[in-house]
Amino acid sequence: MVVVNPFSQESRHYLNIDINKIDKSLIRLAIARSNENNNEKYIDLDDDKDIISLFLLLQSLSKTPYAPEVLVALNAFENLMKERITTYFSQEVIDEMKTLINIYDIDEHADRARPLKAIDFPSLGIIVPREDLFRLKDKKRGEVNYMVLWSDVYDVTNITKQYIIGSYMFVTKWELIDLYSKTLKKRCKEYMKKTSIKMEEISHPVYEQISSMVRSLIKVRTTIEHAPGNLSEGLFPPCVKIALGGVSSGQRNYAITILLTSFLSYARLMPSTKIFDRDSSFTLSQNDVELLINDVIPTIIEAGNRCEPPLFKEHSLEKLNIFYHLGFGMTNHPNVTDYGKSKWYLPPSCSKISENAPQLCQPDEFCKEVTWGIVDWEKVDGILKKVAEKDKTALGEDVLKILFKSPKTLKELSETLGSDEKELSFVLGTLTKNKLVRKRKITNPIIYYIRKKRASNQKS
Amino acid sequence: MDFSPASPKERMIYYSEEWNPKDVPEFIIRSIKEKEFAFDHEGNGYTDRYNAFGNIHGLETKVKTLNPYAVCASTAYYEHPEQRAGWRGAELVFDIDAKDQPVRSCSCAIGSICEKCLEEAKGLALIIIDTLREDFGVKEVYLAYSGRGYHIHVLDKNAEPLENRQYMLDYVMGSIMPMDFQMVIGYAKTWRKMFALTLSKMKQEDFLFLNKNVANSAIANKELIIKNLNARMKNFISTPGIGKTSQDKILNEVMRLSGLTVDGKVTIDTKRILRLPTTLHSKISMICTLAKHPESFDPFNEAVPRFVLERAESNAPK
Repeated sequence: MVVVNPFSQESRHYLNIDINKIDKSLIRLAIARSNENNNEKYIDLDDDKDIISLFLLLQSLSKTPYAPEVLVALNAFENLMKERITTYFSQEVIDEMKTLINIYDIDEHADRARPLKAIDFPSLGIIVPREDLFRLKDKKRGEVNYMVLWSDVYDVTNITKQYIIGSYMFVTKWELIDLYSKTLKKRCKEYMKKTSIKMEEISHPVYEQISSMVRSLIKVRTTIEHAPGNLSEGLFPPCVKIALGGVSSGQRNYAITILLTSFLSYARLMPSTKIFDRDSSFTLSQNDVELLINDVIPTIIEAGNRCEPPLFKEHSLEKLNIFYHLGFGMTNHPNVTDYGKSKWYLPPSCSKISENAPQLCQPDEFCKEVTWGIVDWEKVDGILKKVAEKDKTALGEDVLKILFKSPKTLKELSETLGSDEKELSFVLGTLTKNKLVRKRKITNPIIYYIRKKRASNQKS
Repeated sequence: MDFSPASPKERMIYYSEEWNPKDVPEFIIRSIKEKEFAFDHEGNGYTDRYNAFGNIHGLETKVKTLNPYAVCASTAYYEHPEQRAGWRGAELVFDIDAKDQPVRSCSCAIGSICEKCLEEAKGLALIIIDTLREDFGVKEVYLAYSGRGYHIHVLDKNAEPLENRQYMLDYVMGSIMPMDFQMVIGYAKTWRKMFALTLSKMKQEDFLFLNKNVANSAIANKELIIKNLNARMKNFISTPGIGKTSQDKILNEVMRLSGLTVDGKVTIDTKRILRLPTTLHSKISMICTLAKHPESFDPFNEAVPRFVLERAESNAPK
């Protein structure tokens, strides 16, 4: 049988090997398996090759557990496990999955003899209304065959979207495979975090070879519009302007370490809303990392010094915290090779800022501005192609045509189309109901900056 | 009764004559070596942190020596509580502050509370406890009267290791729309209960997000909406005078308010300190008390220190 749980006791004995005598083919396999495009080839792998190559890869990448290539490699692993389990799904595979999470077969535990309205699960101490199981089948578009313990999969699902009774979560076969594969990916991450401290002290050519090859070979799934450029301070949101001017004790740490550090770094190197997309990944070149060190960090330090009293005079360790939030790990002197040792933190949302540092949140008119944008690009594209063949167009179609080019406010739409705002509101409401467009508020300082920059470019 | 702040002498009387360390909840005593304790000496904040005790006698000595204004214990378990290092998990806690409720059916001013506020806070706590038991199979859960509301302490091997508690908070507060609210049990039931509870407490001023006529219709039809909801009717808000747009607004606002009924920061923070049951809330002269029988618990019977009763006696006309 194929490997379903590489973290099982049985898998461990394959790892008692001497790294100096490792076969070159295993090194090549460790590198190749980080690329999702190769997954098909690795659905069937010998247990020893599978486990050794996986752990070689994880150990090699664990020096920089937050680097973009790690995310890509782990996603590839998650998808490989999904494909593998789907291909070989059987009782034997389920038994192997049970070594990682608790799984219960509904048919095995249900006492269907109880008549009419409910199904009894006497061994689990729960009774479930039949109506709920029908509804669940409809919502999940498939038969609900299994149960898992909520705590086993809590970190990889949204529990408000699940049906949980007496600690048992009801899932379909596909959900079971998905949740299991995600749990495996989470275990890999935990393993890498644990190993990263040990790997700091180990420098072996095999690990170096694998990590550098993976870094250079990995194709990023979604590339973020990468537009480093000079920062336009005039376009910064009010909270950032206040933080840049230096703030007083009480809000200093939040203003400098949390807000400015993340905002300035993303505004400088990645001014794109795609940074919030979980499926997106990106790579920073050496030049980008140098920009962070030579350009962004001094601006943050200057703002810290402008605080009253100066932030770093009282909290000298706070500089370490800033480097950590930028992705350099815990270091006093960040350099290019340190990048990826910690997570590069995203700018906090407006609600988080107003909650944690209310003095910073002094919204201006632009903060409150609501724009409208396309949701379903494919559908709107189809509609617009049909519209192009017509002589006359409806107001809704005109609105879609404009929003397809860029998001607009109600006022801008009204000025462009020469239509009444009330009439436009009604049209936008209908388009929203049809899931073609949606209202977009500014929910993050970086979104403010991106939108204002776009508006300013359009004007000029 | 006179609930003015306890004087240093009254605190001394309470801790030397009334407080018994044996009454400290068993769930605290059994993990005392892993907990951090914090003391507020004179009402200036918890400046005395990083206290760790090997047993209850250590805590007893410190409390009886200091007669503190307030005492807290960490919800977290640490390998080295004296350094707050080596986090091993934390109780899952919910803090329901009666004075901070976003909707109240009584007419108390902001920041003040009455018996009704406390009763409503307890009602909310009991719903949360039901959800934790029914849906998450939690067995060990305690309700403590905190002085201004209630704390729920969940001791559960599945919940204690959770680092991200936001989903759990969203779930018990019913602040996210379920995939199908018409399901009989599960999250749908929790959501319906929370929705009905919040809506039932909303008054005219809580409907300012609607225009006046629609707000009046919403107030007039509140009971009907709740009845429809409990009957799991699909368009349960669809009642005379409330159009589709207003229905969506009501739905979103009630969910938002439901989400504010618990202090979310306390639940999410896995290194929080919470008032230690059996100790004094000196500002209001009440005892933080574990409710042995939550349904019938009455703080004015079970959480009043003797010195407050004596105050009443000495003030009584002779």
